[in-house]
Amino acid sequence: MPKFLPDTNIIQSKIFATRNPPSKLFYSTVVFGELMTACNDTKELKSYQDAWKLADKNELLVVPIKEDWLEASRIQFLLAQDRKKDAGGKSLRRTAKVKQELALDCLIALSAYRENITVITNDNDFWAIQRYLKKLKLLKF
Amino acid sequence: MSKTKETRNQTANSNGGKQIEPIVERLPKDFEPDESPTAKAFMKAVRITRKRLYPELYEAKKKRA
Repeated sequence: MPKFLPDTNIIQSKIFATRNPPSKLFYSTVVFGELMTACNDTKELKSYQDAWKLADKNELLVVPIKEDWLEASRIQFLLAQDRKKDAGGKSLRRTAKVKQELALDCLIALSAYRENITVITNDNDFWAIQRYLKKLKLLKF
Repeated sequence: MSKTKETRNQTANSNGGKQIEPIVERLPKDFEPDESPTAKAFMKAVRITRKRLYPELYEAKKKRA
């Protein structure tokens, strides 16, 4: 059975409201972290905490390991080199938020790749990451 | 362009300002939905988020009912 992991941007997108997620669903701790950070109140936060605990209990949590961090750093370096090359030596400055999002996307991608899980996302960053992680499985929702 | 969209585009331009043209494979429409207790708990949380982000979706649903 194919395994899927939804990215944060899919969960927060309008389209996700109209369709249920596919089986078998896995959950990234990074995605959970992003969702919980954006919570508006304790009710919303607690719901994610409950889902996290259940996912952990059922061994459905995907957690980046130290090797993922190492590889994520390499991919971010390569993407930065690409940017510089394409910009003729000096790339445009990116905001801390954008850099952080790319770093987290790399961690989601690498941990899913290691577990042979398909990432469901509409974020183009993942296709950029895939250029350096050829076997990463991606699907648009 | 909204701030979020702008940020997304900046991120998408990780390839030195070029818009990336991915080979896109879409999730099939006839997939089997996840009905596990974990998925249900997760979707319960997601519904709270969605209601906050897209209240109009739920208002329209209420009106239909």
